[in-house]
This record gives sequence, structure tokens and C-alpha cells, in this order.
Amino acid sequence: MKKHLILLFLLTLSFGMTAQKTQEQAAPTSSNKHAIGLGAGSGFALDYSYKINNRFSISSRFNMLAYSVEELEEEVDGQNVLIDATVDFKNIDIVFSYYPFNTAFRLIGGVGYFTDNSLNINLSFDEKVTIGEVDFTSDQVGEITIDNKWQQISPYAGIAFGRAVPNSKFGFAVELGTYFSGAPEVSLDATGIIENTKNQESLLEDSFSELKYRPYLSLRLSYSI
Amino acid sequence: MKIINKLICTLLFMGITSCDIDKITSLKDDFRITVTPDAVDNKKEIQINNATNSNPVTSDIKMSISGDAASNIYTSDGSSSFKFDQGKIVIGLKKGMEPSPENPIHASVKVEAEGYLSKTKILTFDGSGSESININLLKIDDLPKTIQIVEETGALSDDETTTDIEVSITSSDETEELAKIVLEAGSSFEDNNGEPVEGSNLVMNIETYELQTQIVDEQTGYSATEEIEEITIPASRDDEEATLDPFSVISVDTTLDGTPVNISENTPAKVNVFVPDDGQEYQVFFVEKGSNTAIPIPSLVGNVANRSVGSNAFTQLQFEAFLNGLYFIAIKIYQSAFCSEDLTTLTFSNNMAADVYRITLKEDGNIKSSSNVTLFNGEETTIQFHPKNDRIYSLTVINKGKDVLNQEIICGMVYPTFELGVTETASYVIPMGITCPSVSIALDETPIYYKSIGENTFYPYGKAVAGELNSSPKLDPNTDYQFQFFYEITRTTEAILGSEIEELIDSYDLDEICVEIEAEI
Repeated sequence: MKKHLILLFLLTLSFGMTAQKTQEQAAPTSSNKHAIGLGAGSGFALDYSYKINNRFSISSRFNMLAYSVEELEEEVDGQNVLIDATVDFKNIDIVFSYYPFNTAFRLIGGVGYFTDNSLNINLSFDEKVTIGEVDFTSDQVGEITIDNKWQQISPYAGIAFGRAVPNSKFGFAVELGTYFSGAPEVSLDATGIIENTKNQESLLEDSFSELKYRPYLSLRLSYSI
Repeated sequence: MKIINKLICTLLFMGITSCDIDKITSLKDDFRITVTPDAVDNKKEIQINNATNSNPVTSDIKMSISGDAASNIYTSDGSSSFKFDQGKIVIGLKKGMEPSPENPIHASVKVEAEGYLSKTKILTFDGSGSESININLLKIDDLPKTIQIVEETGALSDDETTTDIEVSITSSDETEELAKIVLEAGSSFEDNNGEPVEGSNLVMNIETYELQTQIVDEQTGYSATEEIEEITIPASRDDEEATLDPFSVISVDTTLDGTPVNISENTPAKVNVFVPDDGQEYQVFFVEKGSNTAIPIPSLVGNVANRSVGSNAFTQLQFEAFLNGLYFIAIKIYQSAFCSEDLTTLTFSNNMAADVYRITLKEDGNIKSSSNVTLFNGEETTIQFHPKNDRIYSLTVINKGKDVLNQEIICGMVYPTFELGVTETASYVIPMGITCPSVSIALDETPIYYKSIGENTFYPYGKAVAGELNSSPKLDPNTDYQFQFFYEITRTTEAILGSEIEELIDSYDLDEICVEIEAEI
């Protein structure tokens, strides 16, 4: 269902884009060559863009997504667990924008270099566990740590509505894209009396192998300099 | 061109969204948290056997544990009540405690069984995984002549003995007086805190072990050296080149109205122990039961010895001691030169299937150390000793009655690891875990035993680690086998044909097993 909605959204955008193109064709071209931008969406972004010509521009940008949740109560396999999760992505991208319709719509391609690219999940028990007469406090029960790490260099492709270097002083853009990061390297560690949960590593590897594409969404405000 | 552009855009985003989200969202439902059924790590599987015939001791066995770690020792299923089944129990340190070879944890276990001499043994937890320990108990009715028990009783009045109580033990060949202990009239008694103890009926129990004692048994191969823990030599300026050499083992237990007591410091017992007249100089040490530290007698008593003036030779050593109901071992200092400054280390490995090996080291034909060692695949064990110049050492290793190794040990030689493995391994891995709807369980550090239907004795089959059993012995496909492991009780399977082991798990009704497991949990 989610896939269908996204597809519908994209098709709608595509038709909308055609309509927009007719209006913008009449817009005068600008002599602005440089711009800086601030973005927010799937993280925060800071960029610099240079307009090569009316069809192409090049951008260098720094993206950061650092987010964590702590002690999220969940039930996993019948056990009440507390989940701590940390996402830490920091990357520097070099991307080219191509304006196929001579409008603000652009196709973007490039490469990202990730200095940090991990997703860590930590599960601990909410309650004590008793085996015979022996009580194990939630600390003594142990914890499950799942680390996902993606490759450092990832190709990027996306589309945006809004110019990299705006025609006027300020510009606004929406960008949607993805890094082709490959399947993450998954490691699972478990300690204490749940140590044998390590046997779930292959399940995790299989599930997380689907996370080959890292989505990118940005609402960008730019300023031409 | 417009159409192509639109197509590119659409395809691009189809690609973006093409991942199988279901796999991620169902992960929470599919993920299984495996809780171990074991409350302990560093397991010790203790098997109590009759020293004379290697049969498990089936009478009511009592085990008490002392030492700093005692309160953290439980059975696998988390019980502090130590119940033996067919002479077997598995104990260990509460999970989370992390001893290491550098920081081991020691505990002293005392094993008592009706009709047998009690025995105290030190357990060392050093983080090196589970260990199988055989403890051989001597049946009182069937003692070798070289192990003697003498019991004397006495009456107390006003908490003091009214007459002299004397216990004398002569060697089995009646050539030596092994020990004579005299409690003079007026002796009084204390508890472990040094507080006076009241009572009226005194029982003094003396056990002596002559060290040449051996019981020739294929499985146990009992020797009295088992009664002595490895002893740490106290640092001494004068004894840099000396080693402690036990020559007499005496156990003294004193009870007052059934309660263990110590002899008061004010009325020490007079003790005579026999010392061979061989021109060597001797010193005597106490070794408390359940301890591996020798305490020099002079630090315990005022009047140490009656050594002849100007001579190192004497035949009897007399001293006064506050016998504290614990082991007493007399030890001589051997002053011959050693062949090497360094300890000789003999390492034994098993890279084949699990087996039990009887490893015996003899010095001039007398047993210096002898023990049954269970080595699972990939495990090692070592013997360390300080060989002397003028002695001949021989090493033998026996497996199921057959010599695996027969080697003369030459002073100063460095020996490579002796590989003892003899039993071929099977190529398959046997799963030792199960996932049920409400719980996943995996056996860990759990020894599995087996025997063919025609045999009486179970042999080690392998050790289940993290829910898997590797390197098990290759079985005869046409023979029926039984398998056994211990969890709360000894659990033994029905007979299974050797050829069916590999498919064993698949053939079980897992639903039925899960119902049973869930009912137990």
C-alpha cells in the first residue's frame, strides 16, 4: 500500500511538473552563479552550489542525521524490553543537477562520502528474570546490541523541485533522493543470560539486507551570492 | 522526450521504493530472544564415584560449600540446594561473575556420603569454561589397609576432658608409628570464632593415608595423592631450592556432642608424627582441609620439634598443636638439587572427540599425581611439577584401559603438547537448541554423555556450546546408543540407532517438546 501511494505521489508530481514547466519557460534566466543553502528533512544539510550553465549545476553539501531514542518500551518475543536506538549519519556529497525541462525541476546524481553511517539498536530487559532461586536484575540479564554499518562511499540519485542556484536572491527547493548504500554490515551481540540470542544474526542480516537504499528528503532554503 | 523524462523519473522512484518493507516490519515478530536455562557459568560437573570400583555413589550425598564465592554458587537450574542424582551434580558461578586465570575464584566443597569417608576439594573457577570433575570417595567398610580410621571418645566435666585421650596409628606394615595424638586431661574446646564450647561427649576421629596407597581400577585408578591439594610453598629465605614433599596425611576431626570443635589454644594437643630417618632435614606444615596453602608449624605452635642437637637426622617430630578439626599434612623439605630452575609443564590436548584420560605421573615408581581428566574437543590440561636430579619420572595416559601415552620425562627437557585424541569425530553438527512459541532455549557449556546399549559406563559425547554440539564421536550406525545430560536431574534418552543421530532433531515432535519445556518453565 505504501509503495502504491508513493508511486501515485510521484506520478502526480510528474504531471504537475509538466504544468509548471509551461509557466517557467517564460521566466527570464538569471546571472546568479553561486548559492549557499540550508536544508532540513531527513537530517540537516548545508551546501554550496555553482551554476555551470542553464542545464547543469554542481553542489557540495554536508548532511548530518543524528537522532536517538532511549528506553522505548516494546514487547519483543513476549518479553518487555527497553529499546535505545541511535542513528548517526554524516556525509559530504558532490552532486550534479541536470535541468531536463529548462524548469526548476532537476535530476540529481552524485556520490556521498560518509564519515559516520551507523544505526545502533540496544535492547535491555525492563524487568528482572528469575532462574530457580537466582534473580537477575535487568542489568544482570544482559543486553542485545545490533549494529548496522553501511559502506562509506555511496552513489546518490534524486530529483528536486527548485533550483540549486536560485534565479532570484532566495530560493526554495524540495529534494527527494536515495543513496545506494548496499546492504549494511550487521553485527549482533548479546550478553548475560540472553547471550545465545546471538543466533539471530542471520535473521537480522536477511532483514536489514533490504536497507540498501537510504532515502533522502530535504526542504532547502537557498541564497544566491 | 517528455515521455522519456517522465519514465526516467518514475523508474527512479520505483527503484527507491522497491525494498521489501515487510521484512523489516516483521522483524519484531520474527526475532527470538533466547534465554538460557542456566543460572550459572563456569560450570563444574561433579561426579562422585566409589574409589574402589568407579561406580557412582548413589547413597544420600551432602555437599557443603565454603569460601568467598559460596553464596554465588548454584546448580544449573539456580538452586542452592545441592541434590545429587546418580552421584552427579552440576554447579557453577552465578552468571555475570567473571573470574579469569589471573583472578580465579576458589571455593571449597566438602562431600559427605553415608558409609564413605568425607572429602574436601578446592574448586577453581578461572573462566575457562565448564569442567568435569571426578571425586572418588573411599567406602569405610572397604578401606585399603594403608588408609586407617581410629576413633576415640571421651567424657567432659565442666567442659574439660577428665582423662587423657590418646590416639595412635601404626602403618599398615606395622613398621612405623604414623601418628600419635594425645589430648591431656583438662583439655577444653573452642568454636571457629575462638569462643569456648560446652558439652559432655567428645569424639576424636583420626584418619591416616599412607601415600603409597593405590587402588588398581581401570576407571578411577585411585591414589592417596588425590587427598592432597596442590600446595603453595610459603616463601622462605632459606628454602629457595626446596620443595614440599608430602609424606604423611592425617585428618583430625573433633566433635563435642556432634558439633565440630577446635582444641583450645590453652590446652594444645601433643602430636607425634613419624619422619623417615634418611638424613634429610624436615619441616612440618599444616594444610587446612579445603585450602591449598601450607602453614609452617612454627607459626602455629611454640614447641616445634625435638630434633637432636647437631644433627639433621631424627625419626620423630613432636610438637604441640591446636588441632582445629582440619586436615593436617606433614611435609618434608627436600634439599636435593633440582634439574632445572623452572617448573616442568606437561600439556595435554585433545583435538579428536571427547574422552576421559587417566593421567599418571610417577616419581621413582611412586605416584606423584594421578587423576581422571575429561577433555572435550579442543580442550587442554596441564601438569606442573619441579623435577629433582636424582629421580626418574614416567608419564602414562590411559584411555578406556588402553595406553595412549607412555613416556619417560627427562629433567630439563621442554616437551611439546601431547595430543591424546584417539576417537574419530563425526562431520555433522547436532543442534542443541529449540525455539518454541514462548521461549527459545539453547544448551550451553553442557556435557553430553553416551554409551552403547551393551555398556554400563557413560562416556563423554561432546559439549553443547551455544546450542550446538560439534565434533562428537563417530558412532557405529548399527548400534543402539543412549545419551545423557544433567539438568536438575540426570536425563537419559531411549535407545537410538547410531545412524539416526544426525536426523534425530528432525524426527522429534517439536510441538510436544515445547509443551513439556513450557510446562517446566
